[in-house]
Amino acid sequence: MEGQWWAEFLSAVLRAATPLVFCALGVLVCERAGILNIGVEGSMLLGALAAVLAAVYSGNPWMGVVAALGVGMLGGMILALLTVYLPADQVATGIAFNLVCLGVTSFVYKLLVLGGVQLMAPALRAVRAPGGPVSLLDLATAVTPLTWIALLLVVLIWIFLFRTGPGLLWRSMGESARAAHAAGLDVHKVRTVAAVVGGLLSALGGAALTLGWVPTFTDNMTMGRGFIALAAVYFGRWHPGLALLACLLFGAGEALAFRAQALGAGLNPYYYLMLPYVVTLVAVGATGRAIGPRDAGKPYPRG
Amino acid sequence: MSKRSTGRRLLAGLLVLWMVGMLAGCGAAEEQAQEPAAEEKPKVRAAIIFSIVNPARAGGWDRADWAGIQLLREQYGWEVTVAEGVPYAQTAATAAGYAEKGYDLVIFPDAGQTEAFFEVAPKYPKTWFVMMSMCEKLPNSPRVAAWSPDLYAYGAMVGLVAAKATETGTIGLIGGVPVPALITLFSGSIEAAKLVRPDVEVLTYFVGDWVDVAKHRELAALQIQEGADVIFPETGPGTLGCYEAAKAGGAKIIGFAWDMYEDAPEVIITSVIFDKPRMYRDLAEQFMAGTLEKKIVHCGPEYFGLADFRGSLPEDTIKEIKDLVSQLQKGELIIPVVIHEEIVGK
Repeated sequence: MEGQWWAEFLSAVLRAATPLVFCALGVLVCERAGILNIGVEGSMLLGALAAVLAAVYSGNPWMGVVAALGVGMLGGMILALLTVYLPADQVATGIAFNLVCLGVTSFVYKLLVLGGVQLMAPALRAVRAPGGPVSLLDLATAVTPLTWIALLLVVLIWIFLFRTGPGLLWRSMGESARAAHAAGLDVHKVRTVAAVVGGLLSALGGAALTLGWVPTFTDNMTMGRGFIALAAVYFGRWHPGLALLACLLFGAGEALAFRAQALGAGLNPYYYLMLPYVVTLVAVGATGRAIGPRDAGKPYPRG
Repeated sequence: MSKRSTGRRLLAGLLVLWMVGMLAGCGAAEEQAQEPAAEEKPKVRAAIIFSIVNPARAGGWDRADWAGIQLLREQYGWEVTVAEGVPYAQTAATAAGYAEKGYDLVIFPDAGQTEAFFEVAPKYPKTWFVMMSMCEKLPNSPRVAAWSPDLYAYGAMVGLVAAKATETGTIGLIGGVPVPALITLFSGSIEAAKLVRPDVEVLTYFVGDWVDVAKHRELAALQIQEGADVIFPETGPGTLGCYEAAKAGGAKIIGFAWDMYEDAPEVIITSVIFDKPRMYRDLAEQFMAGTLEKKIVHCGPEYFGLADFRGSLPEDTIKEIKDLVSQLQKGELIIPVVIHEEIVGK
């Protein structure tokens, strides 16, 4: 294989992995604080739609990113209200949130494009267009800034969670909320912040999918990527670096699935297209039983 | 249990109910037609079931159907109820529901609904069930009909355009799901392209679904990297990803089934139009005249055409393409029928 093939392959891997990395980080920060972020798919959809709409109407893709952050924050606050303050069952709430977001985003988009042409937003462009030839040295310029932001966030979140005092306190909420409370920490406040940060990051994943990849919106355009991010966190044992690895693995599977068709081995395309899912399953299976934060998903009643 | 806890649980329950209610309200994919006034002559009531949502803005195939629906409403005054986003597994139940409600016709726009067509039609012999897609035989029921396009001929028309438009000599065909209809269509494209340009290379890849725009983009970008400068995406809403890849990679697109120019004016050369409104007009005329009968209408090249090129190619190339298409429509250009099963492997 030539260097150009590898460069194209790696840039495809990074493009596919970027939305997943944001979402996986969103799930991870929530679960480390004791909240199951099943609603990641819904937050991603909200972010994807808000990013496209804001970019279309402002003409600036970065305004789209800001809008995605805004709706992500709102979604996180709703989830916090439901799961932290009521507190409702986190799995049921997450599923309901995903379904509502699917309906709301489809409905809003249908209203906005009715009778008009498909909305195409200005995209966050890579310095070098993804369709063009790249070499290994060009890789840094073949992806959008959001990819580099995602990689940077992996490092920052790892430092925060595992190398700082507040990070230790954050993790204690996920391990034993009762003990954290006994130590004088406000469990509800920290979990609220976690839900909002999780919403922000998940919505940013949606923005990466649209503005960083295909600058338009279609119904259910996340196509289960939020759930792949959930699997990546479990595979990565709630560690940012390993979750990144899982996202890259899935991205590699997806990029390889298409390239395998091009290589023409004469197999049915379905064999190739299942590759990313098989890779994910094998990876999750190979890692054995992953034990997450002990209090993740357990509501902590007030008073 | 404290009063406070009970109150919170009640509030949680209400919120979940509200969310489900929102979902039902937002996701309700059915557009209800108005009831006719009592003194008016009863209108023809038809229902059409789409497997995708928002057909008016989806891929070309569904847009062509949408134009047909508008024709039924505006020119013939029919009440047409549209069900969107109905999974194939629920199509039969949805169609049965319309038949139970006394609809005159139930229309299936998608060959993927063939199983439902065969399942539901024999149970409701008083309702007309019509397939507006590729159909080889009809269910055992007196009121069934189909307008079945010759997808090989359609694909051949695409192949003629692509082979004449390509500069690199490599053209890309992108399919959503490797269904038999697509194998037929792409086979026509391959044979026609090779007939007018024997050295042409045809890349045929499948995305695995009709809707994932990101995957569509990746696959189109891959074809561009492999030298394709003209791409024909025969898929659904995911087509937008192909447009985006073409913009980034400097390739051109042939629109599928409907004039797709407005979606991506920078990259659409032309569209190979599928005159579905004509099929719907045939249906309406025959139904209203009482001459609709159990049969399959085979829609050949006379139902296909080219959208305006809008100066996307040199004049002489456009003329060459139009001449070839005209010959195909008149039966003067014979494309050998070879089905390329190998494009979907083993």
